[in-house]
Amino acid sequence: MTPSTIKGKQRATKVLAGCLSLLALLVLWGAAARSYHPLILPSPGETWRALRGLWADGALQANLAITLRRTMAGYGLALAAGFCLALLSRSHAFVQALLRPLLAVVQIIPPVVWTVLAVIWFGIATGRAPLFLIFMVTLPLSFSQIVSGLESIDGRLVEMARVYRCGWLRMITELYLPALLPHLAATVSVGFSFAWKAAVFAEFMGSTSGVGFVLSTANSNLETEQVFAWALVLVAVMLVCEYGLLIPLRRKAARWSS
Amino acid sequence: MTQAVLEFRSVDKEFRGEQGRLTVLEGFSFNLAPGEIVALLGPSGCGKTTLISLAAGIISPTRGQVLRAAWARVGLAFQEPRLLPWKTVEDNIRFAQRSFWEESAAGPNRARLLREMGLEGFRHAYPHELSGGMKQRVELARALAVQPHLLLLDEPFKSLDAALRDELLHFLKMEQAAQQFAALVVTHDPEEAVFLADRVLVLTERPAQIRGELVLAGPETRQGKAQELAVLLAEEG
Repeated sequence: MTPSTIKGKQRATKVLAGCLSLLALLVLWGAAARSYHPLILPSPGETWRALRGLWADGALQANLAITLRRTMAGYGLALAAGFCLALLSRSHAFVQALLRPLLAVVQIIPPVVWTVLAVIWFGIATGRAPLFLIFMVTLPLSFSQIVSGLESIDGRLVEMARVYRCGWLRMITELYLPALLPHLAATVSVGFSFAWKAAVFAEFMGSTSGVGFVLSTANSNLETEQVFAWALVLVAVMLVCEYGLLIPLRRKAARWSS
Repeated sequence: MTQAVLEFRSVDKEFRGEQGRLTVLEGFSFNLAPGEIVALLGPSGCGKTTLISLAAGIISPTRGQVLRAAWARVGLAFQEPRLLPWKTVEDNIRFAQRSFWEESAAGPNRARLLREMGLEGFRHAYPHELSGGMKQRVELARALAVQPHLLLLDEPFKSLDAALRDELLHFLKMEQAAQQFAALVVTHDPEEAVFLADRVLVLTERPAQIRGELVLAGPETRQGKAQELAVLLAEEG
């Protein structure tokens, strides 16, 4: 048996196991739903109907787009800021000494405090509160992971690049960024999940649009089947991101490091 | 600055670590003229790599001056190849060339080096797909591809088998004859030093100083010199 055949078999086994565990969950959920009122635990069928209804009236697409846009904007800003701050702190020990405790404090403060402050400062109608929360939750994480990525870069490669008079822009694009790619892939994997949850949480607490907001409305109206439908949407988005984007990115990053 | 492509003026180099101060070089002076090959021969740990790092500008002297001609392009090859793992063989070489040459000039030279160094079939390979000897060839090809005025070699043939080492030594000698670059070669092998160099500097134990100098003008002056150097080296070691 060739290595590729073995790999193919292993992958097929993994997919089959994954499908079986999801099927088991569905069966258990269906069985449990028979014992409870739909207000407490709607059945998979009722949840599916709610999901189709959300799709049909466009609420699903519109709110999903809003939350995704906020997540990407907030997290994109945090990643860019984290990268710049990490580069700065790597080149100036004083900046690092200044930033580390500051970002540690930001990280320690619970997200709910940031959400309350965001609602006080930005209000609930502007959509800035979720952006702010995503930024504050993911910035320290991005910073610390990029710093550790920069620390792991082989200094001898930097020396080599300097001998060949490599300018700062090429240094960033051809040396630092590719060297950071495995770290960035891992960072984004964790960070995006944080950002996504933060976005929904902030919208739940203080927004008038987005998945979190409609989830909060469904909760207030005791539309439990819609709550379940939105929960499924949230999980599906994370799975699509993980398997469609992040795993291929990690594979690409690992291509040359084997 | 004199006509020398590289000049060390009374250079001291100290490193500070947990165990205190370590003096690696003390009052070290020498010149390297354009087109000249100088081999540095000395016992292990005497500071040869420090000399190369100073010459390349990777580190600075504690006292004294290291002067490189402002116009000099530097090519550098280490014993442990410093290849970018995410770039192919060809892109690693292009990486060094891009600071000095337009692609129209760099491309043909790169293609020639890849062909003559037996790397043509590996131009799209990544470093992790290459053997140690192949990586070493890429390192040397990259150093030569910038068409250096000053080539710095830190024992680049040390971990190679004898056949490949001889092949690369002959290739290097031919390239130097064609391009007339100056070279500073660190080696522990007297035969390698005598084969390559116009001048061999024998270094003392740390802190390194020049213990002896051997000028090798032509093939006839090289007869028996490797043994002479080996004796000198053994006395020092």
